[in-house]
Amino acid sequence: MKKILLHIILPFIALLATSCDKFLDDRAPQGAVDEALLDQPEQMDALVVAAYAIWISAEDINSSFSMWNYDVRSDDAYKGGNGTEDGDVFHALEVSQGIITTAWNISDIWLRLYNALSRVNLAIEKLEKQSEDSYPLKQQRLAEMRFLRGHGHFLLKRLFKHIVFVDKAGLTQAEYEALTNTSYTNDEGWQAIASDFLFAYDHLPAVQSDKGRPTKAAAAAYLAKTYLYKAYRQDDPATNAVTSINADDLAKVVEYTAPSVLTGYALEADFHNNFRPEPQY
Amino acid sequence: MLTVFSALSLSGQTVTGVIVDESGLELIGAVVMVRGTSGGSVTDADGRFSIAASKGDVLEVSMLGYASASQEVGTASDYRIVLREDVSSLEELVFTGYAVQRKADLTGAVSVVDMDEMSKQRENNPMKAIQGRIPGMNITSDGSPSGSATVRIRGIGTLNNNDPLYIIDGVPTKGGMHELNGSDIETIQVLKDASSASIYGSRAANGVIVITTRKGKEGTLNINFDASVGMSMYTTKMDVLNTAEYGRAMWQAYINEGQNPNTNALGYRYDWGYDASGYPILNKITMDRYLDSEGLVPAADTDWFSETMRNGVVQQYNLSVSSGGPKTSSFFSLGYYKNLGIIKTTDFDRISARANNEFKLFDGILLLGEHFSLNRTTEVQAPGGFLENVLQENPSLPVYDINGNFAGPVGGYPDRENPLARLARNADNRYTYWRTFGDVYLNLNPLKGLNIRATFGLDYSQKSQRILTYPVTEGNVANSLNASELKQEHWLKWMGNLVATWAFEIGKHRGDVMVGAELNRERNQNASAYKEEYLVLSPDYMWPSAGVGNAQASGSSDGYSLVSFFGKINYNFDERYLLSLTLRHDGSSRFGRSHRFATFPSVSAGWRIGQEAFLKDVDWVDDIKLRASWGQTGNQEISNVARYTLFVSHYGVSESGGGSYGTSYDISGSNGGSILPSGFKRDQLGNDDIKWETTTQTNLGLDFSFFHEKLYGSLEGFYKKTSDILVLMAGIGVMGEGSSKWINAGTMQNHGVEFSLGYRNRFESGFGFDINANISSYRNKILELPATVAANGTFGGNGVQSVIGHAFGSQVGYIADGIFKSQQDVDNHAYQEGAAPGRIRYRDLNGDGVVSEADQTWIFDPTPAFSYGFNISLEYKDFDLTMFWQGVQGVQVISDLKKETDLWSGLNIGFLNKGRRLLDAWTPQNPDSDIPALSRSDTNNEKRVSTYFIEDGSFLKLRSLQLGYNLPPSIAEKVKMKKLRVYFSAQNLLTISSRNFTGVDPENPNFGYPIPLTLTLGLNVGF
Repeated sequence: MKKILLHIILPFIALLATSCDKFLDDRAPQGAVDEALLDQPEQMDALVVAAYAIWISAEDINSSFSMWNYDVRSDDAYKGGNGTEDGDVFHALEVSQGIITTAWNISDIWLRLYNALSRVNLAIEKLEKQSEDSYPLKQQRLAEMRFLRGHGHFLLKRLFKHIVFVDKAGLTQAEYEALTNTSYTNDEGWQAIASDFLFAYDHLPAVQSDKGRPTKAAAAAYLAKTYLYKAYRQDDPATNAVTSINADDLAKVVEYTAPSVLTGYALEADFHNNFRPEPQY
Repeated sequence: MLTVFSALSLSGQTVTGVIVDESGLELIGAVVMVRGTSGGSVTDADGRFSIAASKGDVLEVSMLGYASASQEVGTASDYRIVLREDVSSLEELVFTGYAVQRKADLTGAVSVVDMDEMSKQRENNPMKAIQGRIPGMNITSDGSPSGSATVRIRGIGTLNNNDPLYIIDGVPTKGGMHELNGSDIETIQVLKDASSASIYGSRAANGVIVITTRKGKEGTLNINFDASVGMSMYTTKMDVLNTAEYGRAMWQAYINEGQNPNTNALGYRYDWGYDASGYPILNKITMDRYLDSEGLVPAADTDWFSETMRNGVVQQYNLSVSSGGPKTSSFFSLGYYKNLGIIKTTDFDRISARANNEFKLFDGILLLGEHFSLNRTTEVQAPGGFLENVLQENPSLPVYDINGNFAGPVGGYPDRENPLARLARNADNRYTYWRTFGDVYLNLNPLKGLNIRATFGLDYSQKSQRILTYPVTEGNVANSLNASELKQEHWLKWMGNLVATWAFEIGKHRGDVMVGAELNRERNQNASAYKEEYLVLSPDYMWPSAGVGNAQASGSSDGYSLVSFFGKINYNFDERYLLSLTLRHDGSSRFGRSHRFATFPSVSAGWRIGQEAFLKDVDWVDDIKLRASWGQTGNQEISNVARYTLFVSHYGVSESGGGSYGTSYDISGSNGGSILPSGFKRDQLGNDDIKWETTTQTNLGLDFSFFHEKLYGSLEGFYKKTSDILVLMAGIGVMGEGSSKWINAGTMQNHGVEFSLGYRNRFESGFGFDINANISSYRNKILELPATVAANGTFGGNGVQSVIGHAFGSQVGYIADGIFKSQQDVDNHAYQEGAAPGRIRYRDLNGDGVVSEADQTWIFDPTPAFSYGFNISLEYKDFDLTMFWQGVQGVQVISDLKKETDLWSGLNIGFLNKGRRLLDAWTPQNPDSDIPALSRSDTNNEKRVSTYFIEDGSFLKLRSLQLGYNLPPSIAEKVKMKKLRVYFSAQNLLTISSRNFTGVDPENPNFGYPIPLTLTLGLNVGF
């Protein structure tokens, strides 16, 4: 009897133990992509497309990436849907009264801009790992992504001033959590944004066959805009007052708006054309 | 027909009658005697007897296994006497953990539901009917026709999923009790503590509800038919403004703002001025006949609640047939439930069929059996946010325009759809849900005391729904989009287990040992086809194939698997000392290899003090049992793919905005007309180190029963601590997209007390009563959480303070301290931006002279002080009356509704309708009001989280009141029935709520589907 038990039950238990793990390995997540696939050169263009896509697909008319809602702090006006009750938190920004830091519109734009930046950094992380042989467009695509990264940081810095710069790709969770919004001074922050646009300027072609990609001139224009903001120094940590105007930065503005730099582009005949809604403008 | 009778009294009459048991079954062989005489009669095959007796004699009926009964002979000549089973409740069998135990032997905290009382509530979902009957079990639901409910046992145990595990005939499932036929249920046991539940280890942390369905009883053929029809009514309505009142409130809002009220865009015209003291005074309000310039939409005074609500009708029919013989037992039932909800066009119906069979083969050595039920439910649910839509719709808008079409907002009216039109557009969006649930089992009994049982269980459900989007035609919300989405979802869950039990008895030592293994697997799949643009806008035409516009397809699948090994030893010494040990080892596919398995032990002990020598012979003590238990149970209710880093592709939709986070982009600038290139995004960060969440629970209990079970009850105290709570932690903001991650990082504690007491008695006159009450209370506290999770307010604290040390869901806010009555009040108070006479004053808690974000504190705790219920059951001869009250005391509710009844600019959309309380708002002429003055621009930010919105949600409800009458046998027999009972009942008849509660229903304080009052007439028939 004991022998039967030993010869049947023990192997049975052993079989049970190994098949248990197999039973529990179940299936890989369905409809999802393994990260290893994203290291292949064939997927670089897809990652880049996704980084552009988020600027449209994460858009929210109530808290827009075009910043029209937040510009009510200065010159724009939010006429509201049907009265002063509508868009209440923006009305508070407009009249600068009753602003509460837990209002939804303040954290919302912060989160969405960092969401957009994280997708850009995902593309940059994978691009940086490629070699020029396997992916010849590496520098150009990196330039496009750094253009987008500069754009994201620019919007954040102009709105919040003291922001976290996610200007290194491929950070771990611990490294993210160690970042602070005071690691750059005000001027260093603008410089960091300018470096992204400078790389873009250096590596983008003058003409792009895909209309959705920025050209060298676009990078130059944005670089000039960055230097314009950088020139008006706000060095006093206690206030937002302009402490000085830096001539070298202003010189950079002149340099990057020279007609020879902005080839293929010219000024509009009427300044108003920049703001007209009709399609031809 | 007549049988033995001896001593005949020459001057007496012949008394006849029938002896039945509690379910109406005739009893054969009962002995009927006249008290004081020696002779008697025995009931025949129809349970009938005939005996000589005269008026004033007392008939005594007795039968083995039943308690004796007596009946005084009156003027009637035929009697129906009911005998009750004399099985002590201690002998009652309780289903726990793959096995059956005697109630007397239980060492864990197990509550048994009284099925008779519960079925009187005529609820579709048996869980709703248990509400308030089991101490420690908190059930919340709304009035929706399907009756879906949320069940919580012993507080909130975890931060992810708090639903208990249901075991139906041994097959586990996580919910959906409203999809099955509650009338098929024989017993329900609730396993509350660790030692009783830990045998279900891996999924038992939130408690286990064990349900068994009915089976045939040996030797009888029973046919039962139950029918009932009821009407449901809306008992309390939200008090909203009518057209004239709205005009008045709006005038006041404009005046308070110093604006000209005649600039309003809703068509109100005011004739107003100033009185002698210089106060603004309204003389007359008029309105143009038509609200629009075309003259199609007449101004109206619409009561949107009455337009969209109706009296509901609830019908239930159940037929069951059961029979049993020495070798087989069979149960078959058919059930139909239909509930026309009180919101127009909403309804729910369910058809169920069940067949349970068991065969005894080879003299009982082999048992082969199955349980199988097939259920089909279908429902039209109320459209999302419907009640709020009804509150907000302007009363001056009519339902129809002059052409008979639905009227919508025109001109400056806020862009909201006509509620009745919404219902009409939703009425075809019915879903149909099929569920098969059952199991097959084989039980081998090779030696005495040894049982080996193999079970295979299946729970397969399938839901199909066609969601039609009809064009919106009314007013300025018109939208020509028309679309049809066909959705198909499947859930397959199967279970297989093998359990061996061996019972032993050696002298005074008795016990059983059980070992087993179980596999569980779930596979789900869903698909949807969406297409726009249909030529004919009707359900007959709008199938995706017929659409000619944009199309989208989606579909996915997931699932998980579990492996378990378990064992239990029960030991009983001399019927006095009880010990039980359980061990369970579980593995889940949701965890990575390193932490896949976990072990859950438990131990419990009991001492039947009532069996001790010093108490055994005390007549009035039936039993006193002291029990203690300690054990661990697990929880792994997280996403099936929680441990993986996920990258997905999401094409997205073409319009921008709305946050689809799609990955496709028109990079080449083609401007449409072709498929766009698409990429990838990250959805989640993986964590291969996640592991089981464990709840450790200690329970102390005392059960008692006195005076031959006339007085009975129990007292429990428990402490449970859940550690390694699985939390989906959102990444910090700068980490961006897809940075949330599942981690084990929370600890929560619950402790509480439960007490239940019952008293019953029966008198010879035929009057009997059974009163039982229960009360329970728990306290909950979050002990540990990662700092980032505690700070972002997901589990409480509103992102202002960390919720650690407070109950789950507690909130932080300002303290609203009355209204500023004068400028002096404003000046004497700390600086508060937006303060003015008529505005809410907020307390300066830190005394720094400024009302700032630092002046917030804990203001809301969702935990009730205690919950209670009591049931009173009275019987007199053929009548029975039952009353069940349920209450929750000392609980706070946050009334979001108050933002719309008390504040003119409480929402960030202007000009919606509001509550009538606004008419009593503060004005210099109405200075004693507690409601702030109407304001068009909430500069004082009165929408902020504050004690203004916190109210006392305590309530006591008369859940069910039922009066029943058993027709006398003479009438019943004329139609060949064994039993015929008619009853009338009322559900949710009365609600007693706190005076400071301003909402509609404290149980359902905001915009949930209203809980109706239902009046039912019903019939129970037995053949």
